[in-house]
Amino acid sequence: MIERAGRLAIGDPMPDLELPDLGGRALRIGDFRGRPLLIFMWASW
Amino acid sequence: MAEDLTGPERPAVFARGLDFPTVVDRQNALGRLLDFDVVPNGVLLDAEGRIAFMHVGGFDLRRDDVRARVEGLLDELAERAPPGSAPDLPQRAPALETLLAEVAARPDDADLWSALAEAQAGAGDDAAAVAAYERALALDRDLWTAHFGQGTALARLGRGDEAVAAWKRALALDPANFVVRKQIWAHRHPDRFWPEIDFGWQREEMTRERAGASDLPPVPG
Repeated sequence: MIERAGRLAIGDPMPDLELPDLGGRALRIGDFRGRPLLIFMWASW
Repeated sequence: MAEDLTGPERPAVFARGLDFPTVVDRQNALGRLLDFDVVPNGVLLDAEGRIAFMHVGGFDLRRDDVRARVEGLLDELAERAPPGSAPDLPQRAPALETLLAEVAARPDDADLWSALAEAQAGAGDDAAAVAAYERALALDRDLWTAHFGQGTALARLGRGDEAVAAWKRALALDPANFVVRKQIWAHRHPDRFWPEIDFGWQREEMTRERAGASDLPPVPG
């Protein structure tokens, strides 16, 4: 397991990215404020 | 969050039946914010949107140790979640109109042109994005984000050969970046990625590229 901090570090606030869901509806990270959020990054390749 | 540069069609198939939202990060925005060059990764935010945990590469919740760690952290974070509303998160990027005004005022700023291109691509105007990335690269030929983003915009415009050429320039600047390398593979060998991912082929290709037996920059190490 590798744990590291990139441009953002542990403890930094995550910028409020807005990205489309699979149907094209925009979701923001800020939509999930108020509870912990696990982001899983993957790809189909 | 699917790091598929060419859109939602393929991740939609793999995400069927999931009971949590899936978004598509075509610009690799999160990858650049967190400086990762591989997937799969996991990032855990606390209730205020602060990064509590990052696991870069090989993040697999089917592994007992990984799942236990994440579940433990989630329990900890849930216990210390403050009541009431959380503060606003910082905005990630200025609006397109702001960037247009800024490049007009500072046309020699390569990063600004690249940020404008990213915003244009995010708004669906890939043709404008390609041109703005070109302006950025005319000012700074080593601007990795511009090569990468230009390749992605070109791919969405159906200009595959040009897209691969741009991604190859990005890869030459960062040969360890597997987000770019594997995107080139997927573009050149769609049959190895669709409808099933051929991981055996990927291992063989990695061996070839480590040995320098490819037109792509050799895999480091």
